[in-house]
Amino acid sequence: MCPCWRDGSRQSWRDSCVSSPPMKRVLAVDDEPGVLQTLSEALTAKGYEVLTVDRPDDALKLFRGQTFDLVLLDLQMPGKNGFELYRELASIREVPVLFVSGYSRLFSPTSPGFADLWTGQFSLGRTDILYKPFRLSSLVEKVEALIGSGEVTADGIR
Amino acid sequence: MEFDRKVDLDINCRVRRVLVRHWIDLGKISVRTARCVVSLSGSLMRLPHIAPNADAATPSTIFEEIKRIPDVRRLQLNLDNCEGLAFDSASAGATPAQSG
Repeated sequence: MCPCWRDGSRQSWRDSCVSSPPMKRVLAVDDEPGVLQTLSEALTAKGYEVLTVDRPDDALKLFRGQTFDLVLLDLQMPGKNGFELYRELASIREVPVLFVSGYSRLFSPTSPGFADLWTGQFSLGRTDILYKPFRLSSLVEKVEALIGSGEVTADGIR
Repeated sequence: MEFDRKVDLDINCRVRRVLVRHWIDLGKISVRTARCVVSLSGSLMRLPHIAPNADAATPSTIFEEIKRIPDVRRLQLNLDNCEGLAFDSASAGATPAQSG
């Protein structure tokens, strides 16, 4: 039992023991299992809690039921592209998004849905894009720039 | 001076907003802020298929805009296509070899 529980102060126990910052949660959506594994391992090693799904519909279900600090979203997936999925996620609640694209040409003003996204969500500064193939350091850099470090320090500041 | 991680995140967000306003391809550039010092690395290029007259801003004016963001102490440039512009924000007046 935690020593501070003994003084009978429930608040004290909560403050010192339970309210330490939770891990930052990342939802990664990509139809390639290898990419998901790489994303998960790289970010878990940096202190983030990562949930992975390989189908857009599963991502929506998960997103409805849980909160995430960031969504990593592949642009090209069977059934639904990243732009479409993003619009559906954003209609549930706002969340920073890091798009991961295999082709930079998919991410250009000629892409369907791009203009709305660029002048809307991107102009808020809470969205970013990473092109495959990418360095893991670039992935971590962009994630940290969007939501901060995943590592919890002794004083609870991340 | 007290440095706050939230301030760094807010600066990062504002820098991305500046880049987006000027149609800069975020996939080719990384923005990092630590202790209110902004670092740009990668390449400063506009998105593909953006008309040259869509935005008249030069790299210098973009850098100046970033330096004017509240709480930004310094801008460090380590851009592949901006040789000679590394580190000092005062050098932002130079013209990069390629801006997309």
